[in-house]
Amino acid sequence: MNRITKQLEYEIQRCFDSASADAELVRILEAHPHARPYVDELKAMRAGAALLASQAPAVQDTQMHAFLAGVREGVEAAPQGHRGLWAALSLTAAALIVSFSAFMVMAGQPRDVRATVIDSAETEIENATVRWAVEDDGVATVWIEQVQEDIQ
Amino acid sequence: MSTVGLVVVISAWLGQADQPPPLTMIVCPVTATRESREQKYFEQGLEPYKSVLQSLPYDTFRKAAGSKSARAGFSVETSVKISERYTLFVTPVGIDEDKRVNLKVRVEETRIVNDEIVHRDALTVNTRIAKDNHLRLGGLESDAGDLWLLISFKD
Repeated sequence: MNRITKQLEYEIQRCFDSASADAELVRILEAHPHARPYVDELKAMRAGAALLASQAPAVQDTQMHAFLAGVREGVEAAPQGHRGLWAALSLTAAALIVSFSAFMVMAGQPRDVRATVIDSAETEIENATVRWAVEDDGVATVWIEQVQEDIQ
Repeated sequence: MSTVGLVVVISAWLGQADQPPPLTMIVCPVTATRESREQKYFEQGLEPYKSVLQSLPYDTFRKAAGSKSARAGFSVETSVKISERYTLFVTPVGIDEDKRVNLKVRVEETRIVNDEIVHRDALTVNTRIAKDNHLRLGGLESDAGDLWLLISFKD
């Protein structure tokens, strides 16, 4: 089975677009008859493109002013849309940052507190007083102060 | 009836499961006196507690007994006998939002009054103690001086 090489494809494409397309193509197809499907495919593509081009609406001279006005209007309107989008995105990002920061502050991990807290202290020893204090390093002290007469 | 019993057992088990694991409590009893020393004296073995004792208004610190450790379960009163006269009772109640251990601490004094043994709470403290920090309980009378208890917890 003969296959079309890339080199042959390039040669066919070059001849296809040149002025002497038909003569060259005839010569190539005589030498490489298996390349005919490829040439037919190219011809079909060319015919399709020509058909589309013939159906495309053309702007007449009388319509040109309105056409350009429409283009201008579109060009000027587009940036406004983008500016709005970026503004909305910026506001959303700012709101997210504020919300996240507030969340981290209010619902963050429990603090690793060093200081000990004395909630209450008492004694059943008569005529004795309980005192307490918490030092800067977090060490808490609770002590009893007794009057000598109470010692038994 | 058996269903009720099963529910009670499961409830108790679930309640236990909600409790944090027991803590290791370390208690160091120290006798503190004033002996007119120029420099503070710490008996051998009290070196790890020098920074905790340093600020107390005494110049001599001796071990009242060896350091004692005990596993203290939550909502359970754990006792540590300090001497014939004093016994320490500690009940971890919970852990607060700052990871401090919520404790009820009680020092019970045992005396003989009119040939009868009498108990009284020499000191009752409700505290929230930060882990790896110390609670100093003191001013307790003893034959050798003022008794101080240094209490700390580890996981």
